[in-house]
Amino acid sequence: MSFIECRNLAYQYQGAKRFAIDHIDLDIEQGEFIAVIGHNGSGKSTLAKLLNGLFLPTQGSVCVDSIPTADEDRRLDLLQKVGMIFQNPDNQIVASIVEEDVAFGPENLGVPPEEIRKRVDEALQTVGMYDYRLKAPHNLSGGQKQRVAIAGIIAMQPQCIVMDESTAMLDPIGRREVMQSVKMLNRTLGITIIYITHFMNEAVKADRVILLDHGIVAADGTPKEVFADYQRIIDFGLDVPQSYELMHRLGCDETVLTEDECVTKLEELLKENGNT
Amino acid sequence: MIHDISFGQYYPASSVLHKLDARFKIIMTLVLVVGVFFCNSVCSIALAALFCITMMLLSKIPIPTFLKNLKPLIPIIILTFILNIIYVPGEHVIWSVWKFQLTTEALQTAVFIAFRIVLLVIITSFLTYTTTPTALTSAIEDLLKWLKLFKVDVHSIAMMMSIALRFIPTLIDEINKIINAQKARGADFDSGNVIHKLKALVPVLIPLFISSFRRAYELANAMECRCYNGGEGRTKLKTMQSGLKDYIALGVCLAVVSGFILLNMIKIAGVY
Repeated sequence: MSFIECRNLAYQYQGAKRFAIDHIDLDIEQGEFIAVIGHNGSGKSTLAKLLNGLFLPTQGSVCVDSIPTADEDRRLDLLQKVGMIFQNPDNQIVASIVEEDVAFGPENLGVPPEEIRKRVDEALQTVGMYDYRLKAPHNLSGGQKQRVAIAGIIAMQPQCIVMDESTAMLDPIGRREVMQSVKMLNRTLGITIIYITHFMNEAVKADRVILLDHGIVAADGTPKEVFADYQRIIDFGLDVPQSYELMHRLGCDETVLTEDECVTKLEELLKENGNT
Repeated sequence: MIHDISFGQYYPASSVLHKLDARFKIIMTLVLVVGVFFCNSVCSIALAALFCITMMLLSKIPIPTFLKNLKPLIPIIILTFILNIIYVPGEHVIWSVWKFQLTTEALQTAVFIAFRIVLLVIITSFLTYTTTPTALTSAIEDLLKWLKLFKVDVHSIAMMMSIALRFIPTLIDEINKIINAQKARGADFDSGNVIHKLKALVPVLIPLFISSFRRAYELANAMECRCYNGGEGRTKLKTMQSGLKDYIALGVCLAVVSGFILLNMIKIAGVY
């Protein structure tokens, strides 16, 4: 059994004509790093909210670690297993001091004070915000606030973190900081990451990319597989990573997704051209 | 337009006052505030002033920070001073003009009341400067626990207070942004009479309200995602612990207040 199982999952907003999520099947294993992409209104955020039970399925089911999200009695278990980071860092910080905000989750779970102290310190060290533990959140930068929010989730010791466009409001530096923290959590702690984004440069850093279109899964696979067909991505109304765009314009057919690959490929091309 | 408000601003430092239990600090503040109203003589006011100065030095907070708090109160102090001089009846007339008489009694009352206001502000600022908003709200929650008997949801009230405090700076940023955005569209906030100026604020307040509701909705979601489920079964990172030092501090406060009352009986040069 997979860690997260969506079976025939459908969700319809009240008064909406069509399904925002249209009967999809999806399996997510423990420890995966998944990017979810799709244009506006493709159902990305709806899917995120279905995964931890903020929205309940209209039809079908979602099970996390064998807990159905619709199970009212195990709601706290579910919320503890699946942490969620939102878009606006200001609207998810509850306390007026960094460490007290990180402690909010464990406090709600009824963790004993000494254990909370330990978890808060560890979580802040993990995201590199330990030196800021006594600062007021409103004095931090966007990237730092978002890292505090991540620490607040890690302190609950979740198995999975859903990032709902958490980098959309950040500057490039903030985006990089958040991406690094999240990657590290995935590699070292084995936390499953579901990373919803519309920045393709971020999506290609994941192990698996899920492309949503009008509530259905249009593509699902490694970044190389999903981005293989250049024209198809453009047709979905999405951007392609800059390196891919550059290589495509240069007439290269290969799927070149990251900057490093792009550099090696360019070197090769230049050498070839120099020889002829 | 709005830059910085010092209301409830915590001043981080590591002093004896910072380390006291917030619950005791609230009680001590109440005791001292009541005590200051008993100060009716030069001696007791001098004692109160001496006590405040000692506390300021103990708190390791720069004295100008306290004085900053007094600035907005200067008009009120002057007004009460003038009103007291005019309306307090007395027998020993020092100086008189037309119907108005300046008496020693009135002058004495006016001076005392001005001093008392200053002392009250300083005493209450000890509480807000040395206690974090979170400690303050959890102390209030703890002190009002008995209200639960009357089915008052004390935890929710405390949570609302701490969220309100947390969002003050965020909303100030937001107001400034909206004002700038409206100015960029040609809104005029600075000219015209009072009514005109108030009307100009409407396009600021409406977006502010709408965005606050959106914030509230998102915050509620985020809190739910972090397993918030009301006060039931909740633990705290910082448990409130009262120790010997808190009882000693409370004892000192009580002694000082009884000092105020005793000193009221001592006359200096015929003046109370």
